[in-house]
Parts: sequence; C-alpha cells; structure tokens
Amino acid sequence: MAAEENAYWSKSSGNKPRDNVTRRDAREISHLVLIADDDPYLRSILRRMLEGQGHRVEEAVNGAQCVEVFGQLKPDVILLDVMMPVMDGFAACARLRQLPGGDKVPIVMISVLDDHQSVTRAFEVGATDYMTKPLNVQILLNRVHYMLSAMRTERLISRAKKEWEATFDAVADLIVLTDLNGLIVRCNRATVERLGVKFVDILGRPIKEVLLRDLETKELGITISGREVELPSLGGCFAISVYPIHVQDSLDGLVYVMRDITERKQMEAQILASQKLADLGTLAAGIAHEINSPLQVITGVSQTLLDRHASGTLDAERLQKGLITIHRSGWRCAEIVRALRTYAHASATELVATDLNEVVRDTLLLVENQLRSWDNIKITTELGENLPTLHCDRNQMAQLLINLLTNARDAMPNGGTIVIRTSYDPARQSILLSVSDTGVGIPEDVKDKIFDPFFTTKPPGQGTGLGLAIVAGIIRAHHGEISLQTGVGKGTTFTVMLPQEYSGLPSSSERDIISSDSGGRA
Amino acid sequence: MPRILIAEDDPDVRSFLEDELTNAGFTVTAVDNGADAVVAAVEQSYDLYLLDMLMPGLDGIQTIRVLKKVTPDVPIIGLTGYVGLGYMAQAAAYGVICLAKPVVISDLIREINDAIASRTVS
Repeated sequence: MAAEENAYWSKSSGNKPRDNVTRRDAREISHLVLIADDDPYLRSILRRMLEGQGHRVEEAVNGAQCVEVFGQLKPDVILLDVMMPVMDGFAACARLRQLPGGDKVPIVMISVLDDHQSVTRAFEVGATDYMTKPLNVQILLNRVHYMLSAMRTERLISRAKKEWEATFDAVADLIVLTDLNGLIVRCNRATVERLGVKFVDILGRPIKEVLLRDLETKELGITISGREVELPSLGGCFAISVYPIHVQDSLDGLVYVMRDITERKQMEAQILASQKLADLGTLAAGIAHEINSPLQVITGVSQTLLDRHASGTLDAERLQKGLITIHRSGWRCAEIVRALRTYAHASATELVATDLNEVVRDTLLLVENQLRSWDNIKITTELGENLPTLHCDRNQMAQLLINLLTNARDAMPNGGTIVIRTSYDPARQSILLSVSDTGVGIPEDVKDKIFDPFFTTKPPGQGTGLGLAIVAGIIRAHHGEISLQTGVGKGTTFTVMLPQEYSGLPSSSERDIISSDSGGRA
Repeated sequence: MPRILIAEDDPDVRSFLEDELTNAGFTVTAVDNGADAVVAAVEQSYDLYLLDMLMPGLDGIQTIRVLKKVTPDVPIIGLTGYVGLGYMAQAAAYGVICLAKPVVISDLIREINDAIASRTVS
C-alpha cells in the first residue's frame, strides 16, 4: 500500500504540477469534512489524514446523527459509511438529499459491499462516489480533494452566474442575446417586462419579429448599432447598440442593448419648446410695449387735435406739430412690424437672400426695450459697408445675435460696452459677424465647454445652458465657423464666419422673388 | 393747482403727457427715469406721481417701492405698454393703479383727479 501511494504521488508530482497547485489552493481554504462511521478506529485515521490536509473534521456515529450534524454545520463533503446502526448510509443519503443545501453536497459512500446491487442503490439514493472497504485512504483523500475543488469551482461559477444574472436583470436597458441567425437565446428582465411576455415565449424567436419589427428588413445586426430609432411597437424611442460575442475567436452571436430614450427625447423637445415659448413670450410683451408707446402718442395727439378742431381752437402751428408727431409715431409702429418679419419666417433653415446688417438693425430694434433695461450697458455697431448678400435663415441669424448679446450682457454684471461688427472677408468669401464685450472673459478650462448643450456657469434657474449651443447649431446649419478671443478680465469677442455661398442655395428665381419682396420700403 | 411728477423714458410720450396735463391745468414736472423721479420727489412735494413701468435704471416697480417709502401719502398712477407681464398685479400690491397704453387722455385725467381727491378726503 505504501508503495502504491508513493507511486501515485511521484507520478502526480512529476507529470501534473498543476494539480499540486490546485491541491495547495484547496488546502489554503479550510473545508469541513463530516465523517459518518460507527467504527471509531476508521474515524480517527480519516480525521488524522484529513486534518493533515488542512481540513476541519466533524464526526457522526450513525446515519441519524449525520443528518443532524449536516443540518447544523453544513459540511462541504460527507464520507458516509453504509452499514451503521439506527439509520444506515442509504437512508441517511436519501434523507440528506432532501434537506436544504443537501442536494449539492458531495457524498462519498463507503462500504464493504461491492455487489452490483449495493453500488447501484448507493447512486440511486444520491451518492456522489462509492468506495469499498478495505479503504485505500490515499485514493479517498485524492477523491475528496477533487470533489472539493470541483465543488469550489462550481460554487464560483454559480456565484458568478448569479452575479451576472442579477446585474443583467438590474439593468433598465433591454439586453438581448441572439445567435448568428438573429434568434433570441437570452434576454434580461427589462426586456420581458417591456414586452409583457415570459422568456420562454420569445426564446428562439427572431429578434427582428419580437423587438425590431418597426425596422426595415435589411436593417439588422451591427449595421443598426449606434442608431436612435422610434419603435412604435415598443412604444418609445430607443438607442440601439449591438456588440459581437466572440467565442474562441469566432463570432458566435450578438448582444443588442436597447436604451429607452423616449423620456430624454421628450425632455429635450420640451426644453427647446419652452425656450422658444419663453423667447416668444418676452418678444410678444416687448412688441406690445414697443407699439403701445407710439400708439399712445397717435391716439392721444389726434384726439387733442380733434377736440381743438371741434372747439375752434386749433391753430396751424399746433396742427402741424401734432401731425408731425403722429406721422413719426406711425412710422415707428411700421418699423417694428417690419422688423417682425425677421421672426415671421418661422420654418427652420429657410435660406433667404439677406443683408446681414439689416438683420442686426432689425434685431436691435426688436429687443430695444429689453436693451434699455440692461443697466450700464452700451451697445454700438460698426457695420461694414457694401456687404454682399448672405443666404441665410433670417430668423436663426436674429436668434444667434440675441443669444450672443445675452451672453455678452451676462458677462458684464457691472456694465460695459458691447460692439457688434460686420465685415466681408474676400479671401475666404465669407461674411464676418462679431460681438465683443468688455466683460469678465472666459477662463481657459471652460472655453471648450461653452458650446455644449446645458453647460452653464450661471446659477440654477438663470440660464438654460442652451444659448451658445443654439448659436453653434445655427452656425453649423449655415456651414459657418465660430471662434473666440478671450482672456479673464479682458472681455470676449465671438466671431462668426459665414460663407457667402455654399451648396443648398435657393434657385435664382427664388432669390429674385425674395429680393424684390424685401425691397418694399425705402 | 395740483402738481404732477411724470417719469417716462419715451420722449414722444413724455412730451405728449406733459402738454396734455399742462393744458388740463396741472403743474407738471417731467423726468425720463425712475432715479430722477425719486430725486425730484425728495426735493419738492407733488400731489401725484405718474410713472411709466419700463424705464432704464430703476424701473416702475422699483421706483414705486422707493417713492412709497419716501412719500407714502402721495398717490401714484402707473402706465404700461406691457401686457401680461404682471406689472399691474405688482403695482396693485402697493395700491397703485396701472393703466394700459394707449390710454385715453380724458380717462387719465379723471383717474388723476379721483386719486388726488381721495387723498384729500382721507
């Protein structure tokens, strides 16, 4: 027996060094072995051997006690003698398998019985392994070691699986794994909840039918990765990412991650709409104020003239003075209404042949009442002469200027000067519009972020963080560029470069209509 | 002869009001902003203030706040070209009636006389 042992170990250590490593690992983690045997001599030999391997040992003298100890201590492996008083090994094994946690614990049954029937019965009642007496203790130890390491691996795998599944199910995104034919092999809880189905109902069905039936037939797989699509059948808008699954270097399937961005989309739309509404509300109130003042003069002065005429006290000088005032005020109203055209072109990126200087003047006129309430801020213009016509969306250009002006104002809490300049750069065939302030300047670390949507340095509630993002969007739509010169305490100049011509111009006939239309009043 | 202080930044409207109220028999002083109105009110006593609501510097509401502190008994009438910006409600909180432009001058004169009369009574 000793020779056999030595042979085994020398073979093992010679050819399978990795087993030794595993063995050492197993020993580092102390396991609890339960020995159930009515033979105290065998128990003590096994105890010594197992403790020599670093394991802890508990003993039971019969099947009933074995079951009891298992319930209390949950051992990692059980060595179970078959022939025992009170409750034999078969009964104990069957009983153990019924207990919580008892279905997984490795049970090695040990018996002098080596007949076919006994062995079969042992495995029928749930034995993991079966060894006959007289026992080769070394073989037993190696089997125990193997079982423990297998059990440990299984526990790790099962734990990893549970962690992975819990994570998978905790994610709010819909995650679906398909095979190469697009058939669903797995999905997370969010997916079945969204669909209102059980997983078995969609297992093996094409993802195309189950989740992506709103897409074109040819759109599937990696090609739709990164897309944001409206999926009416799921009742929302989703951002879809698709990732390949590689198993042993070959493509095995795909992971679809679908993020519901419906709410985000709605919020973005709402913010944009509310921004527009706020602008519109301010604008409407401003227009009312701008027009009501000259109307006050027109109605008031004309009433006085009428009264005096009726009472015969209207002299020529008073009549002339009154009419001049009425005339001037009437034209002021007309000017304001004309400036409104800048906003009347409501549709997005409607390109119109435009004099940028006119946009600047109209915009300033429209926001004049607001500008007046800007304390200690002076606005001057240096408008370049003979600017070529710019094909642009007047509405958007006005918005761009208002946003830059607002930004400049906010940079000058203690007042200052804003200069609006326009010029033509023949080298680049571009029209330049710049807005300079004498404000606080933009710190270096913030410079890169100022055009990001929702980036703001203003306190909550005082800025949407959209002003400059809208500016950037408008410039993009016009194929232009924006640059800034700034320094902390030195003020900031935003310069917008707008190419005079680019593809997507309106036809010449359209241009004629537009220019003849805009030449109405001089 | 009741003395009226007008604060209105629009020159056409200001001179119109000045003319009409002078013709109606008031002694009129006109300024073009809220701060000057406060200075004028401290220097001299008036029977009524007529204030535009949107002015540079101190706007109408801010001016009302200061004037109500300096001379709480002098009635104030507001004028506003704005609609729906809450000026009227804000002014009402100070017991100030705010009239919407364009206002009929005879209505304005009646409001002025009523306000001065009610002050004299109380």
